[in-house]
Order: sequence, then C-alpha cells, then structure tokens
Amino acid sequence: MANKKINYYLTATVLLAPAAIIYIVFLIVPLLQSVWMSFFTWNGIATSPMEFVGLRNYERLISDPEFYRALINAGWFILGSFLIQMPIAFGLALIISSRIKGIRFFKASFFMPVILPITAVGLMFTFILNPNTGLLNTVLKNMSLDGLAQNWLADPKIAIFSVVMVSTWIYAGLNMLIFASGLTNIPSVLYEAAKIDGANFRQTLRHITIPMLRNTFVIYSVLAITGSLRTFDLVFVMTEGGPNGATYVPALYLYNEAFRYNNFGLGNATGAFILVLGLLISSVVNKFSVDR
Amino acid sequence: MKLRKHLPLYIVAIFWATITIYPLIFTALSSLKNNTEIYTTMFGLPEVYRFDYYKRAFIQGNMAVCIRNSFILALSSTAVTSLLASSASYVLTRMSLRINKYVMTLFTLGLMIPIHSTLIPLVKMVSSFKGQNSYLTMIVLYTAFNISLSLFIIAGYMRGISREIDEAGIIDGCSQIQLFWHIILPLIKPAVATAAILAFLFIYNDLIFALMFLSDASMHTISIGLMAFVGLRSTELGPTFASIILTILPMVIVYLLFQERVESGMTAGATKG
Repeated sequence: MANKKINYYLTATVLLAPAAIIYIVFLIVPLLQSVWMSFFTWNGIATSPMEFVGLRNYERLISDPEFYRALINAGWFILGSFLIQMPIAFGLALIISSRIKGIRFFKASFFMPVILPITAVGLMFTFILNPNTGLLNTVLKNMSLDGLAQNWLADPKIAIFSVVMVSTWIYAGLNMLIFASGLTNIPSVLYEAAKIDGANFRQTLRHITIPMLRNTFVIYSVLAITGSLRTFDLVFVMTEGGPNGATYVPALYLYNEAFRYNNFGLGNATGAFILVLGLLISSVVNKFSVDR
Repeated sequence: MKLRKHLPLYIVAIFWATITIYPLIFTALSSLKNNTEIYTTMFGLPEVYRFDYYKRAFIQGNMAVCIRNSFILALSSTAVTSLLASSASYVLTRMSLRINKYVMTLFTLGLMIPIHSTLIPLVKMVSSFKGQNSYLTMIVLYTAFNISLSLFIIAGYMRGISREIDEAGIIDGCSQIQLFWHIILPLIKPAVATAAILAFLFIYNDLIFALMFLSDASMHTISIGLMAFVGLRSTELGPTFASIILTILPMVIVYLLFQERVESGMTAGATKG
C-alpha cells in the first residue's frame, strides 16, 4: 500500500517537475533577482561586485526626466488604446457579429496584422511613413491633401502618435475578437424585447449592448494598460526611442540604461517599477468588473 | 432594404480591410520593383517581375539562415512547451496533491509578468554559463516564458473531461503514466493544438530574446536578421521589401490554415494575460 503511494508521488513528480523547474529557474528566479538587484548598483561585469545602495536607484529613476518622458509616452499609448483603438475594435466587432456577406474574409483581414512579426510590420511602416518616398504621403499628395503630409517618424512632435497609430493597426483585430466574444454572450432575448419595445439601433447599443459588455470593457482596459506599459518591440524597430528621445517608452528605457549605459541597477529598478505598476493598475481596474 | 440597412457596415468593413491589407500588397508589389518604379509607379504592377530580389534577400540578406533558425527554434520550443505543459496539467487537474493549488497560482502568475522585468538577471545568468548563441538556451527560455499560457489553455480544457474516464482506466489496470499518455493526451489534442499554435507564433515573432542572446549571424532569427539587413541601408529597396515578405509569409500561411484555432487561442490567451 505504501509502495503504491510512493509510486503515485513519484509519477506526479516526473510529470510536473520538468515544467516547474524550467519555469521557476528561468522566469520566477530572474524576476525575484531583478527586484533584489534593484537595490544594488552593478556595472554588468560578472566578476565585479554589486554594491548595496538601498533606494537610490529608485530616487535616480523618479528624478530622471527621460524616465518621465517614457512614462508620458506610455500614457499616450494608453490614451490611444481608449480613444482610438477601442472605438475601432468595438465597431469591427459589431461588423463581424452582424449578418453581412463576406464575414470570413473581413474577419481574416482585420485580424491578419496581429499574427505578423512585429519587426517586419515595424520596418514595413518605416518605409510607408517615409516623408519623401513613403506610401502614406504619396497617397495624401494624390488626394491633394498635401497639408496633411508629415515627417511622421522624424518630427519629435508627432513621432509618438505615428507609432501609436501603427500599434492600433496591429492590435485592433485582436481587440475586435475580445469584444466580439463579449457580444456573443449577450442573450438574444434582450434584443428581441428591445425590438418589441420599438428601440432603434442607437438605443439598443446604449441601453443593452454597452452595459452588458461591462466585463469585456474591464478586460480590455487591463489589457490596454498593461500592454501599453510593456511596449518595446515596435518602438525599438521603428524609432529606437528617437528622434532625440521623443518616443522613449519604459521598457526601452530599461534596455538602454542596462545594455547601452551599463546602469544595471537603474535598469532593474525600472523593471520592478513596470511590474508593480502593471499589477497595481490591473487589480484596481478589475474591481470594476461585476460578479468576480 | 437589407442592403441599405447594411450599407454603412459594408463601407466601414471595406475601408478597414483596405487599411490592413493594402500595406501588405504594396510591400509585396514593391518587392518586385526597382527604386525608380517604386517612386514613379507606386500603385501600379511592376513592369518586370524582379524575382531575383528574393534570391538576394535569401543569400545576401541571410534570410535563408534566419528563417531556418526561426523555424528550428519555434518548432522545437513549441514541442517541448506542449509536452511539459500537458504533463504538468495532468498532475494539476487530475491528481490530488496538496501543493497543486499553489503550483497553479505560481504558473498563473507567469501570465502577468512583463518579460523585460526579468531581462537583466537572465542575461547575467546566461552569460555566466556562456549560453549565448545556442539553440538549447533559447529553447529553455522560450519554454519558460510560454509554459504559463500553454498550461492555462490545456489545464482549462482538461478540467472539462469527465473523471469517469480516469476511473475506468484505473479499474482496467492503467498506471497514471499510461492514463496520461494513452487516454487523456489523445482527448486533449484540440487544446494542445491551440496552445502549440500560439507558442509557435510568439516564438517565431520574438525579438527581445534573439536580440539579447543571438549575436552570431549564423544563429540569427528573422527579427534580428531583418533588422541587420535593413541596417545595412542598401540603396535598393526591392530586396528589403522581399525580405519583409519572406518573414511575413509563413505566418500568413499558418493563420490561413488554422484560422479558427489562432483566433480562439489568441482571444483566450489575451483575456487571461
């Protein structure tokens, strides 16, 4: 009997341990180390010692204007997610949940950008947004809208918005599916009742669809905020934070401080900051969901 | 009547489909043109189809090597991740261990951790055993960072499978391993497929780990290969556009083959992430 029990635990260990060990050693431990190392300075040379400095990395972090700029730009990503991407994604969700013809084609084309390599998409758009030879400005000139043509990625005033727009181009399709799956969960009786009561499209949208999607909006908000705080690939590929730091984002700040300027302590403090801020905001936003 | 009611929907749908698809078509067409044609007949078809730009992307642009490496890494890491996530899911959902609850919470935590917050210690760790430019290091890292999501999808599906199957198997004399391998694993194929496709997409598209750990040109993956090729600032744009199309194409094919699975998996993955 005891033998059987040992066997049972042995089997469980064999099946669980490989996953758990890889996950703990290469993800959980580095995460904890990162928080721990944020209280030290270190120049990145394996043999040179780490020096304990308490909260000084965090003091340096919050007094660095570059970091503020990175946070503000993350804020632009968040604002873009709510003011531009959310209406688009919601509208697209209404379209693919409707009964128009060619839904499969539309759904596939709306979603396609999500699965493409961000590097390829980012580079593609650096060519499209090129001020002299790019597609966008050429289209604008052909439509005699020369006034709208811009130096999209090199003008510090608008570079961040260009990157936010490309990010919208990529992720609207994914968020469309999130809203669409929320829409399918609304009982159709509600719509039938509204129809009998003579409600028009706008009234139905306002009094049934949007209130019933409350949890979906909460999920979207968490995703939009945490995703914005983590942005890295697109900015790295398109502008590397330039022109002149105008498109800096927190993860890029971390990358540059650590791997360009060898300020590993400051980098780790940034990592811990992104982690805590993300968890904090998600837990606050989640409070708005119902029945959880 | 019906068309009139739906007309605004069609207009918006066609408008956004143009915005998403046209840049890809533009890039594909430009990959066959020389610079003059790109600038002068930007919207037209190429006069001559210059397929040798693809040859140049493959050889000069190192794209043959990059695509091969991306596939090797994505396929092998996906296989490892799927196997480990399935076996761990089996223990966590179908065996009764007291620690299961805590282990599950620990794995769920992985869905919320920003990859960059772990980067510096990881670089320190990998360089301490000189693990740069190695397939093995990359496979282990990709597994560690994708296992949470795979496990989440697979365990969720496994919970829905009736326990009576396990009891029947035990009565027939199955060991736990046999039960997992011969009975449960075939039943959870759909979830494993979804998780595997997602892992494959994430790994194939990865930039940051490749950037940190793969510096040899012979080890480059598509992301850093593409950046290196564009960084050369070749005067001719055709081969650059060709290399972009070459890296995009496999993903388009994967998506069109597994459309439903990719969509449902991405939605499930995102809403729990």
